[in-house]
Amino acid sequence: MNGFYSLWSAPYFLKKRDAGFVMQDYELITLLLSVAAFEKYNGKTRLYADRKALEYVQERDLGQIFSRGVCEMQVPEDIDPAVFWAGGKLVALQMEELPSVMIDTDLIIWEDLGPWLQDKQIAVIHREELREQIYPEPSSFAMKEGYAFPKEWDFSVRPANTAMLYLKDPAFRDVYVREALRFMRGIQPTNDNLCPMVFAEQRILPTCAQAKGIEVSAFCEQIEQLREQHRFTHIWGHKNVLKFNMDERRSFITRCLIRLQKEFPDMYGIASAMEEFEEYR
Amino acid sequence: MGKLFAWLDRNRKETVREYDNRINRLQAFHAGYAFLSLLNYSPELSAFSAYAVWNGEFNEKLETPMPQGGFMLHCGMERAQEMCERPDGFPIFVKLCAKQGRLAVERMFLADADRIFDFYFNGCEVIPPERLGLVFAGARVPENAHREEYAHETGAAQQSGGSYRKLSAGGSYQKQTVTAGSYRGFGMGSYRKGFGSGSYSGSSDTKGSYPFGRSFGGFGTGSYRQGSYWQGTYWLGSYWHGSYWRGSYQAGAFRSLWMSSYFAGSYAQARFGIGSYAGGSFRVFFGQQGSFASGSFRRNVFFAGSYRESLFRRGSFWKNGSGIAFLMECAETLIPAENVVCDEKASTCEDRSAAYCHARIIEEMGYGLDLI
Repeated sequence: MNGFYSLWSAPYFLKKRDAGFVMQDYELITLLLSVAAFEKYNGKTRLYADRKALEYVQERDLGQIFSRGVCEMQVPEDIDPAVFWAGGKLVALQMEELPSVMIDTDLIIWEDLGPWLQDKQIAVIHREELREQIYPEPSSFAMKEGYAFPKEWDFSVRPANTAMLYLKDPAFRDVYVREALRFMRGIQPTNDNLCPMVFAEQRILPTCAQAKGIEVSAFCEQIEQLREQHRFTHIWGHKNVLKFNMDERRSFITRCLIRLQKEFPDMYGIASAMEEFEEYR
Repeated sequence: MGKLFAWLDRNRKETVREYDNRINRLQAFHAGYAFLSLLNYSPELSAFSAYAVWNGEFNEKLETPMPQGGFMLHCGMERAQEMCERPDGFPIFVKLCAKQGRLAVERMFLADADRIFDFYFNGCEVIPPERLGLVFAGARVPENAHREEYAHETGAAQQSGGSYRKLSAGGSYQKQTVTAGSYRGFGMGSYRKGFGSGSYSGSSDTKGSYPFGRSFGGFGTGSYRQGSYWQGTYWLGSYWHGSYWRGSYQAGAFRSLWMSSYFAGSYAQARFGIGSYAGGSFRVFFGQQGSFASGSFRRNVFFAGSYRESLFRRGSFWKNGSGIAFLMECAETLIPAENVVCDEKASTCEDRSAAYCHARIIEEMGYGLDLI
């Protein structure tokens, strides 16, 4: 089972216009661990990166960790990175050969997903509740003239979290990505960087699937079930703590390095040569 | 701007490694204040959730600026009560570190006389202390500050019992601001009316350097000149600090916010790329939030549904003999939705006093971290 990651630098540069693209040490070590674990338990990985992220990857010689290499992607300029900050994932998905698993850079998969995925068309990590604050009525989006939601879409379908997304059918992938990008282009300029994004990524997916009569499988139907499972590590909001708490960050990085050293020695060799982890040698 | 902490910049002749070494050898220094309230204390955990106010110049030099909320310190109940009796905040000392030329806070302490407390970020929620406005109004004046300026700020503080609406009544801002098109005009008018006498000496600098500011929020900075956004309302903002939002918040959404009677702090949204939200920041300044708590802003996926976020920036500039000295900046704070009205009446606060210590939702804490 192949997998892929994506790095889109445009959202990063909205905040740091003068600096080059840089991954924080905790982000980097998570990615190393994620790639190492996926390649051990599942299959080969590839990274899709836009030009500036690619420069960073090449400069740091990070391409070597992805056994299927690194590809440059070009996210259309009319996709607003401030609103659709995860838009790069969809562009990468469009480029990827299916079947494949789309993996967030802060997600680690600790098990072979093959047996579970073998009879699936679409699989996600968990379903989400239709909370009004996050998933408002689609009619509340101010859309440009000419845009209309397909009539066959049923908005009562629960959204699907795509921190991990398995897709098998290229035809469905094309529909999903096309509709998601159409929505991104069709929305009026907005400051809301949550609802439109999760709609495009996580609500259009199951909605399209239902319209096509395809089942979306989920490892967990309820998010709370993720507290008691052994397949996934998702750093998610804990990144906020890692960002501002240096003790916690060091502890986290140390744990990751120890895990690499014990289980993924090749990747540990790469990590320990990086200047970000110099103090941990 | 940039004078007090310029030494945190990398010198031209300094290599990255030399810079890192220099920074890593620095001793801890004073970089902000922590404000404590029993509303933010949990006797069960012997823990305070603290509200931090950072020196803005310092904060801006960090690779990732520190937030206002999310900090915690531990102490017993007796000590907690003592600490809350001190309204002017506890100095936060920071020990910096640098990696590859990027500046971060290595460790933080609260210090007061002989007492030192570890202070750390864990993402906990915080209710901004009610008296913060009073504190800022009067307690942070440099020794050489202009007395008249100080008097104005005190005047502002004394208005803390009133509602914001009342303070801003009169609407004289708008005419002066809009018709004159000059900031100076804006700074007069109802500013005097609302906050006592005194002239606010606005600068017409729109370059984002901090033309001026009032301790309670600063009446605008350069960009009000961009004009019509502010028409029809007053501008209460914290913004003196142009660089945070310069050029990036010119969205239509602001208009509706500003046209309302309340200020929402929404300009800060631009910097963080968030939606429109009316936050409760005024309670910080005036001890009440009234009807500000509305809106549906979520900062990002992780906090969605569980928090409302009050974003605002404020600056305190005080005129002194050598120019304008920058003091503080508030970056952001997180307020749980269920606590939005918490501190309006003391009687309703008690049962929520430790609400910030709630079981973290999974979006905040991630999952499977123990599997590493």
